[in-house]
Amino acid sequence: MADPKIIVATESTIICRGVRAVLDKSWRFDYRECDDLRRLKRLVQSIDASAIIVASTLFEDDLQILQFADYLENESNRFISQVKLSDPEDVLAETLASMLDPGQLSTKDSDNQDLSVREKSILREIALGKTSRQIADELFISAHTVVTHRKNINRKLNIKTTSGLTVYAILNNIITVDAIEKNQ
Amino acid sequence: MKMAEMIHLNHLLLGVVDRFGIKLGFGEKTVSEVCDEFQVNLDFFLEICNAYIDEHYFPKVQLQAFPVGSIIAYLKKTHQYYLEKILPDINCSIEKLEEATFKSKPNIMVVKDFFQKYKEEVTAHIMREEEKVFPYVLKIEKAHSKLELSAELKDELDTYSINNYYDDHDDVEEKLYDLKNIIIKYLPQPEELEFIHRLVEQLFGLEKDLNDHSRIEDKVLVPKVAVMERELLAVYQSQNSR
Repeated sequence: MADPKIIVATESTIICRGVRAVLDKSWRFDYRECDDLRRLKRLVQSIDASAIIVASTLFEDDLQILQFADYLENESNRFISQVKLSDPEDVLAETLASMLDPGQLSTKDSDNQDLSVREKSILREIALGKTSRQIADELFISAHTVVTHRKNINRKLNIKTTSGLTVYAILNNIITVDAIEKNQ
Repeated sequence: MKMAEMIHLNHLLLGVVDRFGIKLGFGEKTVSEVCDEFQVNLDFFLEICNAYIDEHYFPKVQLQAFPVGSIIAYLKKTHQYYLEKILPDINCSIEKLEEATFKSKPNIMVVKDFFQKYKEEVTAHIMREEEKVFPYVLKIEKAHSKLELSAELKDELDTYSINNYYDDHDDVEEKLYDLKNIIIKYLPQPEELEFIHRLVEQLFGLEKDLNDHSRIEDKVLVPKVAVMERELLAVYQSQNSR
């Protein structure tokens, strides 16, 4: 499942980084950034964002804020919540979570970094020296899916090279040295 | 500043000092006096030391003012240091680890194997630099000093160009990272901890050193040579269009 999209609109790089840093702690989002109102409206129309975070400094006055809020509600039926710059981290995170559909949130559960059964079987094939194309053919899945699995394996294990993955596979009894040698 | 004080400040500089051929036993001599004694260019030495201690310190302009020859001489010394000192040391640690291991010998063998391949790769990388890149770079510098590009060197420039040389650092760095990570996460057995600790420390040391090395290559050598290449090509074109 693709990560939910979030638009962060502010002219301040620091606020933008800050918001992302807070949210990144708990969830995975696909961020879009923007720094003026006109582009923001275009962005809102062009992508299906799960949430839009706008700095009030982007507006000239309160009236403009109200207009924009109306515009969003008409456009997408969205709830509007407000947070202050001085709000603690968890308030910001909770406010956002309450606005989102819980099913959309893919949490970063750092405790669960074990490979799935599928990932293990793909890792096995990688260790045998097969290419993504070959693995796809053998497991009857698309090459694109294999690449996605590979990326997830890389991320979970924090091992980037194929030879590194091979060592991991041997050390964790996913494959034996004999099997690799036989295949070469 | 006294040379001894500099080492007290950061003992990792011992490796750098060694690569300049400077021996310990400085007494009360200053950095400048020691450099004189060992016929080392003081400014170059200082820039390298600063760059080594602080990765954010990057006096591109100053370092680029030094002749390519001295940068290459330094890079060659670091290569030698990797090949003759660091890599064999790490190899030795892995062998000691192997001897001390009872239960998980096959695991150590896998790591040993991985390191062997890594070593071969680093060696091949170094050899390619020494046999192809450095001679080419020196030719470019020589041609640049006369502002004259021979047809032969022009061909070489067209085929190689410095930017094409430096694209495979990443893989060497990633492999080293993976090796460290695997050892830290998956390998330790209680009875081997002492050896593992030493090995991991050596790998971190190598990583720091390699990063520093490729920083000098990527940020100093490559841009400097790229500028010379461009200027030579411009001269070549204006001469041939006349």
